[in-house]
Amino acid sequence: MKPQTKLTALTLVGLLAAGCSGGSDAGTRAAGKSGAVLRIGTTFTCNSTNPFASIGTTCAMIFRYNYPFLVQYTGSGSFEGDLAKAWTSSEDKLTWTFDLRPGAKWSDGTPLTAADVAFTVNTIVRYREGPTASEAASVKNVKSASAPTPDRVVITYEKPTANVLGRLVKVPVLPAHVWEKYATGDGMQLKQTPNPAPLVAGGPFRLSKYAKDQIALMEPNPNWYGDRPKPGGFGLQFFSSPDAMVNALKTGQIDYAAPLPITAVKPVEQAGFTVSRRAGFRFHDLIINQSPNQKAHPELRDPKVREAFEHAVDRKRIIEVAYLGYGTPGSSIVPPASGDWYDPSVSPLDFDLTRAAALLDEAGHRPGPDGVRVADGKPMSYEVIIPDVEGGEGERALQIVSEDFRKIGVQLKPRQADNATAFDQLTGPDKKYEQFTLAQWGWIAQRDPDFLLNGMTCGQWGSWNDTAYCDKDYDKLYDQQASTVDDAERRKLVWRMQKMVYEARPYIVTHYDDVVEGHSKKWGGFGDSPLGILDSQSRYVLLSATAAS
Amino acid sequence: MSRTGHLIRRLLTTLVTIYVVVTLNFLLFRVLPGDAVANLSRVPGGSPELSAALRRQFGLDQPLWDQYWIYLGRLAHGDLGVSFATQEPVAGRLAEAFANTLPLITIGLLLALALGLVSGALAAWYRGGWVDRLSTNTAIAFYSVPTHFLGLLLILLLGSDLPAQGMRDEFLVDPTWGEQLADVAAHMVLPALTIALIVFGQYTLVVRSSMLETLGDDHVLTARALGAGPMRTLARHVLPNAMLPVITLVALSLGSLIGGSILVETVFSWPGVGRAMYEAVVQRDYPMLQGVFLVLTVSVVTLNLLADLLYVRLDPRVAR
Repeated sequence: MKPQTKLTALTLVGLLAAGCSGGSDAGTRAAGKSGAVLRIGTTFTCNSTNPFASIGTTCAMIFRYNYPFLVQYTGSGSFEGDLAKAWTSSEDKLTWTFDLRPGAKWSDGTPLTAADVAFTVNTIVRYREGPTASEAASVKNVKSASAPTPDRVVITYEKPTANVLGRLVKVPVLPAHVWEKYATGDGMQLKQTPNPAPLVAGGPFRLSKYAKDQIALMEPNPNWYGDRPKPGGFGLQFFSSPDAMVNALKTGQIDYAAPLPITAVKPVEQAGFTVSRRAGFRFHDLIINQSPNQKAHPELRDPKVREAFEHAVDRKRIIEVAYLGYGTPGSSIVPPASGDWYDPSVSPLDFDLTRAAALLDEAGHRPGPDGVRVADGKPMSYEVIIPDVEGGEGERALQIVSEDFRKIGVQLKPRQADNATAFDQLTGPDKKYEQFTLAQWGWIAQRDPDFLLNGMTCGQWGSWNDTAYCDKDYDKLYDQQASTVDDAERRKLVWRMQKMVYEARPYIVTHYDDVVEGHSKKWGGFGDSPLGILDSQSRYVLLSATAAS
Repeated sequence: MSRTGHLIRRLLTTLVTIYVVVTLNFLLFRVLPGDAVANLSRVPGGSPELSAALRRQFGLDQPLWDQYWIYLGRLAHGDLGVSFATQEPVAGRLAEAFANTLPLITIGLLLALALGLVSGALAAWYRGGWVDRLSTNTAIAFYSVPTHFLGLLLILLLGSDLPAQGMRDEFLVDPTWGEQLADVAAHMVLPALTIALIVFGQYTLVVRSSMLETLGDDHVLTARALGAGPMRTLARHVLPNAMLPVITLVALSLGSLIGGSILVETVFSWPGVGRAMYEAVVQRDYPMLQGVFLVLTVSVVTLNLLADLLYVRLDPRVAR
């Protein structure tokens, strides 16, 4: 061997040996040096630090702490001021005036004023058909925003709009002195600028470091106008494997794991960690295609058949066996965690296979020689599209449903696909929903029900509507609630809509997931949120967290 | 055929292969079920307007043929396009991912080579005995284990002593150069070991069979008859001649390993080409996928070409 080759080989061996001996030290050193920095591990990555290019709640959570917002959600789901200290609306509800905290500054020392808010709102409105389309729903019906004084913003609406604060709570106020150079021409630069870390911040923390699929590190913003946050910073480490994340938690390389796989709950608790569990916004459902274009199985549009299907879904067993008890039986598309928006009178039908079979008999669908019922000359045998996001628990749940359906003479065959493919299979060619029959999927609701209710409208065919449900009366109610500014009046409409959807059964909501997360006992004081620590609409969970001395 | 003729023929084949793959890359992702825009526009607040805007922005509203020509034109200028998911140039992201994957693959491969040479040589030397059976069966067993399963097993067994995620401890504060190096090396142990264990089996088998052929050669028998000891015989007379097929195999497996790193990198959250590919598939990020597959193709084809040329150099009979 030549001397040079020998040296290379020795270096490699030495490097690996150093690695072997230095592994656990590195973790300890990080924890010791980082002090009160909360290290959060998550399997939900963030694709971009540009608010107009980003997708998903993890990016939105980062922006929540980096940027100021006019208002915030409190832990109980009501609103509190953030950059705005007070607000009023005109009698006709077309003009909303926000008084801002005086003397606020961005992290680079530039004054943070009403001009920044007006710039952000007007920019989103101006480009809402193009580069800012992802934020368009937050400024629905907005005519314009103005800044008559540095501490006052006035937003005018074209017509009365429900849930104005619930929409504005999602709009991060951007520093005009950074972003105005992109808001020219067709505005495409707004979407294309990488907006690299370190960001100019106006929230409690500043994104100081970001590497895609690796890390987002937040350090305190010295110019933050609010109360000093208790953590000395936090970081999100992105994992592609939940097992590796659980291992990192157990070996002290991270302090918090979100979400914690439910199969890891017991080992994590036994290893001396705290596991939190709370009712969440996510629900799972069996989708029954409602499209008149679906010709192969017209029996699926028969209300009796859909009622029979609901009687054959054993929610209790699904939760206990597939989800290890971490959930509650479901009924409405507005989950109970939404508070007053949830209609408690929408309750699920009992699991009753005898009743289910009787309903199918009444509908005239008798069993064939092989035990599978026949409807319009065709066996009641359906493919069930199941996307990979449903995971192992979802597959087990579908097995349970299939076993019970077989007992009433209905055959289900799972058809697995990744999320993008599954959505394509649901909508089909020309977005006509001609081909699919059943699917199993779910939604993560938001605090305000508008988003989910909107997904059931006829206008959302090919976009958010994954059931092909379309009812003109429902659409009228949707428009009515969207312009009802009185919460009590709007609630009545929202409850009516929930009931309509439940009774039509485009979805059979099986259950609501619990949000399960694990953390080191060195940390405590976390706030409560149905979205967990990755809450993208409130800073309530994290700002109160403290490290044990 | 002369060496120059052989070289020209191989170069032409390489170029045609790359062109075909470039075209297939373009078509393949577009005929797959799952629409990039539908995926990207399914965000809170998404709307049909957002879908239309995204379609315009990505040029997906153009006829397929036009998209193809634009794609080829950009490629000719070295422009791999802009990622749908991040809005950043694909080339920069790819360069970063490759820079992370290459050291991991190289160390894994070197470990595999060392293991394969030792176990293959032992199996050949003690052929028919328990050492041979142990060595061969172990090699076959590791070769047959699914990569992600072995990775998870190593996390379970060694994850309490070694970091099992990412490329570095992102929370280290002001680390020195030495600390950074030790930290990256520590993070590399488990994924590199996974690669080595999966790959070394094929090296063992090839080294064994190649050595068995060489061991029976006249020059080896002569060397032993002249009094050369086992180590000298192996090192000087057997291994150099048995290395020819191993060199080819290493070159071929390096290319396929870069493409195959998807499982190892996903299990260990290693921010390399494999993970970039996984994320791009999930998000239907066509430009990123096209970029990854192009670079993978070029790597595999180039490494094959190099192996071929090296083989000609080592054994001139091949070019004839």
